[in-house]
Amino acid sequence: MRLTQLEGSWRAVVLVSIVLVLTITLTGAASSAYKRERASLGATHFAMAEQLRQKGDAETAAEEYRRALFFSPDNGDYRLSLATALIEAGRLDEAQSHLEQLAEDEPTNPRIYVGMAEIAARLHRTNTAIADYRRGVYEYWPPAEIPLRRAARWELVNLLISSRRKNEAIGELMLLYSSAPNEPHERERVGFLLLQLGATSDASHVFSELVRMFPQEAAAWRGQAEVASAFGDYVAARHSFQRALRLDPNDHESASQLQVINAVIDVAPALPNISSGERLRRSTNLLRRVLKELSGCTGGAEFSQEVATGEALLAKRPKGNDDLSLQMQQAAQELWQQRSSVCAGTIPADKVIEMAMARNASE
Amino acid sequence: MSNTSRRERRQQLWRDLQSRFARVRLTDTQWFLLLSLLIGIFSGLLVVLFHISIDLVSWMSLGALSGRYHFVRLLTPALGAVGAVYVVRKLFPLARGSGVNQTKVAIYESDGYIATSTIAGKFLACAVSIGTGNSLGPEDPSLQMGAGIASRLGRLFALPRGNMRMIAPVGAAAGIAAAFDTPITGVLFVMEEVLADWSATAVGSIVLAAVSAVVTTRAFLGNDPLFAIPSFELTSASELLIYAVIGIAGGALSALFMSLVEAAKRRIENIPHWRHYVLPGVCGFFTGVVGLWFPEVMGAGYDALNSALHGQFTWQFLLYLGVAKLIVTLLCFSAETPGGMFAPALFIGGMLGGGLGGLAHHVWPRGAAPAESYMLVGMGAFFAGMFRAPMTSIFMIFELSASYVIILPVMVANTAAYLVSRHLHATPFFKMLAQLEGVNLPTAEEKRTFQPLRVENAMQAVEPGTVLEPGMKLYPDEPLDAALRLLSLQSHVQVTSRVHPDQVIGDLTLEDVHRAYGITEPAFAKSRS
Repeated sequence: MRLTQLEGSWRAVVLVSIVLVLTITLTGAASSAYKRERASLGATHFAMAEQLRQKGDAETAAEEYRRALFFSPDNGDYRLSLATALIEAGRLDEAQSHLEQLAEDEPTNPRIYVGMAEIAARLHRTNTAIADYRRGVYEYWPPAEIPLRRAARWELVNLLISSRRKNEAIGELMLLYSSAPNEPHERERVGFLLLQLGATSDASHVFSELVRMFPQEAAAWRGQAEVASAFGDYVAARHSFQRALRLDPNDHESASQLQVINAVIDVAPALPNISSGERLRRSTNLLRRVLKELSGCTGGAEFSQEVATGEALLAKRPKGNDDLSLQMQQAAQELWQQRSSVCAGTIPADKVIEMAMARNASE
Repeated sequence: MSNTSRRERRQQLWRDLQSRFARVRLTDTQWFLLLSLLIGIFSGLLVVLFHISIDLVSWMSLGALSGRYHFVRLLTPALGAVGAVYVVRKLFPLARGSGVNQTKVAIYESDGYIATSTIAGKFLACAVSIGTGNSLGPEDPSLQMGAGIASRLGRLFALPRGNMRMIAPVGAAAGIAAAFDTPITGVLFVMEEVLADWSATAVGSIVLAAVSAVVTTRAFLGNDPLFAIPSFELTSASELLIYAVIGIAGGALSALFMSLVEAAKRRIENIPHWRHYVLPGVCGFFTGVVGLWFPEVMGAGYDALNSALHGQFTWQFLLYLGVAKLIVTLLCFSAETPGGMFAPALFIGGMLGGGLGGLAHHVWPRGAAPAESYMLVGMGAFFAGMFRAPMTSIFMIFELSASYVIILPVMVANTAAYLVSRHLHATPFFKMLAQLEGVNLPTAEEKRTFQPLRVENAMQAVEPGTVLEPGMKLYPDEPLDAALRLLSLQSHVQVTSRVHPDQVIGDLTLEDVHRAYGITEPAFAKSRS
């Protein structure tokens, strides 16, 4: 094009500029209204989906989430909710696909990794699930979402326990305890799981603090009692169980455990601070209980001889010394150790005797 | 008094503006680039409005009501098709036909002239037909609307004939790039299919227009890509076999589709005049019937593709969707309902790829990825087989997925699809449509096949050491046409080496040129007489 021609086309330039401004204005107005409408339609479908999900209809909720996402494809919350509903509906591949896309868009959103972990856990990919849960719970969570983080950590703990990764579970439980809200129930749950995992010292720390912070909480006292019981301090356990029962008379767990503890104390001669007479009485009770438990068992001549010895010890008159008590304990222990070889049918498993024997052994 | 002074001030301002503009000195190239930028912006804006209009029509016609009353879904595509055909037959007759071919006709036949009414006609007709659920896409109309805008601006600025021819492809690239939201694809498609020439002089302008169109579209519609693509990975090298199979299947299916379109169009030509409205209505109704069971096939189908890419459907359902879409697209397109073929091609290819990939995963779970990984490759394969634009198809999938890993599978599948489709159906899609309309347009494939003759094809080799004579010389790689011009001035022309210009390597006479062109002496004499 020649410049002379160009100079003559200034009117066209002005005209095009005016048309351009008008078109931009029109398009701007139209696209704003269009985006508003899309967002509004998306929000409507999202609200419907949330309602459906609350009613437990995850499949229909997912359909509504999809519609919401169609209108607002860049809305991460919609996509995440869709993925969560899909997990609930068991459509794991589709959920995984949405989560993977979210992970690309928002790589620091911890809820994405928790979702991925849930999928991996459902598919029995335990190591992947644990890694994803870890990535999720160790990411930054906004303050409003802290309860979700705790829920995710609980899921991680359960997974670690089920996959027998005890020490890692204990570590996560201690983190849960240190960040637990100021109410007893979750802390008690941590304490009981620690006890279950054999972390008695950690559980002791938890329950000691709990009974100090919430002295009117029956479960805290029960936990304290179970810790004492695990340490072999049956008397302290009995006191704590009694306290728990006073606070909550309907606590059947404490009631049944108190019965066991009372029975253990009745047959535990090794407990400290008891008189020699009391020790002899408990030794007699222990031997009698063992003989009763083994009464249905038929061993060889040696076993019969030992039973006869035990019965002879029971018949012996006490002479005011500890020798008889010690002999009874030894006889009870020897007889109890033979139970698996002499009892052909069901092997006796008396929890009371076991606990008393364990206490004796620790002495 | 005040009125007079105000008028004088306005006139003064106008004169200032005029003189300032007159002082602006732009070279032709700068001016052309500036115009390309404008074309890109206008095309982007128009595509935004087009996109909004399609959605608006869709919400109004296929919104909540169609879910509640089935007859709405049955009748809407039929009514939309009839309405759209009315628009292009009665109101804007120049807007009829394929956008790509109409643009090519404008470039090769009418110096880039595209009537402004074509833009309005395409916009209105396609917004109605696609929005009401007819199985067609918005990209081909966008391409023609972009070319139309370019042509309008070119005429407004009174561009010379040569520039007018160059400006239409610039607009076409802007239109298709904005529609796909992929600038590279826009550029490549125009170079490969519309211009059918890789050595186009307007490449810079085409790129600039495509980029500015995409930027404009994104500024108004956001940065969301056309497809939300999940991460793609190649699980094993043996997976390439599955991609090759998808390519072969895509090529075969695209050839079958083209044969069916060709057969349908030939049969429809024999039906009397009433067909123009009745056929689109009937095909729209059939689309509605299919839409009762497979609502995903209605309209462009991008939402369904997005859902499928996220694993919403089983591989069997993907195959059903692909077949259903193929049938309704065949009907809608053959009935001449306004709309493009790109979106349906991507849909059919995607579903085919996903279905076959899903089947492979079902049979061979460890060696094959889930179905959605194969969808993108399927899209590219069907696109390559149908439009015979291999570079465009490869880069389109690369741009859509933003994944380097996908390049290799796409190349394998697209090459297979291209070769199979070419073997089964020799004519590419747009060429076939043009031939059905009695128009002969060039294609890149033809240009690759029929390369222009060069001097080296005609020259006679000479003895080494031949003396260089005075006069004009030629190089062996120059076009033979150049030799003809020189041979009108001298009896023979010596051909020299480019590396050693003093070394004569050949000699060329008019007879050699005739021989190379295959013109025998009697025939030449006869034609002269």
